[in-house]
Amino acid sequence: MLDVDAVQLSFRGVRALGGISLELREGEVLGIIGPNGSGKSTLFNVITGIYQPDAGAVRFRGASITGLDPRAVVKRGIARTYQNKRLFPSLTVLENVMVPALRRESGGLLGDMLGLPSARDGWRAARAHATECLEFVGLGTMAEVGAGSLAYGQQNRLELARALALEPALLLLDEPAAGLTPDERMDMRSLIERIHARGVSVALVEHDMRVVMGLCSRIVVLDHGEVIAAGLPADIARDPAVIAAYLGAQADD
Amino acid sequence: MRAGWVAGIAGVVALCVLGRFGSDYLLEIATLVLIESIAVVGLGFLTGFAGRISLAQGALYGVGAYAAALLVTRTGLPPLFGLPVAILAASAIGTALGTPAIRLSGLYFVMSTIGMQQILWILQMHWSSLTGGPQGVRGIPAFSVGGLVLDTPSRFYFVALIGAVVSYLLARRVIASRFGLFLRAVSDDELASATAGVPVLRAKATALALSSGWAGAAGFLHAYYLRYVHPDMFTLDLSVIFLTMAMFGGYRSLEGMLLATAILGGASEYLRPFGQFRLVAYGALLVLSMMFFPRGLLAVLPARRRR
Repeated sequence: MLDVDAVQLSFRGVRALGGISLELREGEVLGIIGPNGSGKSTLFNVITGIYQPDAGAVRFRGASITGLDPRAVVKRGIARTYQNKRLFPSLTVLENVMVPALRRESGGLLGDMLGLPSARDGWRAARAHATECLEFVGLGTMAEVGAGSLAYGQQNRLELARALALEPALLLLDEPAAGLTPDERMDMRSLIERIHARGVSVALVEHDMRVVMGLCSRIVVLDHGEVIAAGLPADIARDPAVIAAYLGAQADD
Repeated sequence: MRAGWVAGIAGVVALCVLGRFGSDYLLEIATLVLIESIAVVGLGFLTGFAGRISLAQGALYGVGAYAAALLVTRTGLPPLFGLPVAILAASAIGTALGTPAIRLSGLYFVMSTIGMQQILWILQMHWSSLTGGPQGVRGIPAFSVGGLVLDTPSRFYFVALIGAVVSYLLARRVIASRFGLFLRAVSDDELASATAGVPVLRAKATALALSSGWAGAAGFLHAYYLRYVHPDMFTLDLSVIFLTMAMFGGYRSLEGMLLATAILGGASEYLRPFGQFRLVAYGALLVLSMMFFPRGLLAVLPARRRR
């Protein structure tokens, strides 16, 4: 479904991605793990069009999406969340999700200004869709709260709702469980399971091994911008190169 | 929400009473404030909702005024024909000059609008064959609709009042629309907006086009207010005044912008004896309002924040 082919990226001579290739199959939850600075978020930024790779290609469902801008990538059916939450703090929770929900409504500005029925119908449909997404992540009662005043764990779920409102075929999650309490992590895990059950393929960057091992059908391990291992969770846990990378990273920290 | 409508209707009724019984002198001032409120509300699309600060609103107001003045004096068409022409001219010029810069971040965009302001002033002053240069445009007839000539201060006041009310109501619609929501999202976080499917550049360019169009409509009324236009009416000073009104009044509050326009526009008339030093007061006010209530005048009042 998603094909990352020998993608390279350097920042001012510092190599961030050194020819990464990986494949995500339709319907799976792919875990992407690795020490801090191993290139996981950079890879997401390349896939979603925020960075242009120096070399290599990204294909989605057979078509190249290399070098598309972020909005064009969204249109192809890929949504994402951010590691450092990027909500719209001055909007309400509902409005945060209305933004992606309204993206498909075609009514023009003139229709809005004149209050045409088509514009009002579009608004109503988007509102219903956004409300449904909020209920799905468990924020149904928080719709009118300002997003800037949400607790940390709720911000994660709002980011998820915002991504889901795009109705993606593939969802890229960048550390959705980071900073959560153990209970919240288990909630997040079951939430991702429910998203997967709706037929959404998932790429998951995460540090919490229990979340990763429990959710992912396959795991890719990055270190210093390279893939050092890929395979089933059980095999990855025993892989000497992975263990070395993680122990090394811990010694560095 | 309902309380807002009651306050709005009460305000319009009060303004109508003023128009019926106010002295000519008072109505001249009030008319100018109403006209300026249109330009300020337009600027609000950029400052409050797109997170972009413009110092070209005065020049674009001038474009609207010149468009209206030239159309009526050169062709003799009825005044109202000038309204769409003024709106389109200002909107087209503002969009053409501003769009290349709109992707720039805050400070660089401001610099580019100062450039836009100066370019337009120079064109108004030196493109004499079109604009009359330093002579300005004289001989603008009194405003009329159909056979109705609205030549007294009281009559023209009501024209400006209708203009200001329509401008406010349309702006509210825009802000409550899908486009308005996109703009607020963009000013919060451009990258997250793009990831949420918002056409970021188009949203900002549209804000610029609307902002310029509102300036053009205000300029149209200004041409019939003084019935004379001159380049020195539309200098950087005017842009600073508009910006002060928009920032002082309301980050994302149209009502705050109207209030600030009324206060500052009214005060400016009484500060006239101070001549050039008036602008010192405006500059100081801009600095103070940024320091102490960056979210605008109404944000200081006990909150009933956004609807």
